[in-house]
Amino acid sequence: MDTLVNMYIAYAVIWAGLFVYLLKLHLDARRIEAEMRTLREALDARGK
Amino acid sequence: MCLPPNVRIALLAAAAALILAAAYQGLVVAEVPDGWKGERAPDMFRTMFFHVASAWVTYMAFGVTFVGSFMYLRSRRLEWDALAAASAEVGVVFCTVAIVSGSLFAKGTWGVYWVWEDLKLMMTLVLWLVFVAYLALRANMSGRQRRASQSAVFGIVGVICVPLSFAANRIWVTTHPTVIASSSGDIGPGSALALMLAVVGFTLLYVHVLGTRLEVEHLRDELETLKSRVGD
Repeated sequence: MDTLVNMYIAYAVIWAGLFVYLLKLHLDARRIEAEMRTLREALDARGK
Repeated sequence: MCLPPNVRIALLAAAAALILAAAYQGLVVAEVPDGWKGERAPDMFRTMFFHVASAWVTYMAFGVTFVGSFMYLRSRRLEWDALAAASAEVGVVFCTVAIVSGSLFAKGTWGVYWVWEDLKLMMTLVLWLVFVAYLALRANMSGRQRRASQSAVFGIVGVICVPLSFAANRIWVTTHPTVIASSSGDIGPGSALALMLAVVGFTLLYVHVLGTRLEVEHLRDELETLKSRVGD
């Protein structure tokens, strides 16, 4: 790294990447839960 | 195998507290050892804590993949396969962090981002590639039991790279320094505390991420079951 600031920016990018991955997992879970709710409602409506 | 949400939140909070404590201890309090008194070296030394901690989590995650794969082959229960796959994915994420942070460390101390002749670096790159291939294999395979069986064998064989990557700088002559359990690499009590806090913090972060990844896997399975019921 040319300067210490550049290195800290690089580390900030690494941390941001970790949190984006974690956020993606949480969003995936919420999206699947919403899809499951819709499917359950469809099943209830059909009396299964 | 899923962790309850409140346990996962507690783990994340504890991990954040420990990593912040490690950052304070490592960046502000800890003394830089005598061997690290060069122009840039003290600053680079202070970034070592997170690099070592992410490498530790990488080895642990792939170790869990080995256990999950082995247990799947013994029991044929898909929960073990889910654990192996989730841990492999989290391991690849932390291995990426370890490689990128190691490259930054190398640039600051050796003047280059990568040394192709260094066996420690190369074995870690091979480890990363093996588990990226493991994930690619799973993503392109149909049939849950077939996918689980083949990836379990792949996971068990791939873990051979873990001890080779860990021990490369102890077995062969490499540019990579030996920080832990090294007679020449004493880092002092302040830095050892920072390293310990970072390792424990990253371990808790790994358990949190693994728990979240397993929850997603579990929800996907439930969704598939629901879809098949709707389709009937």
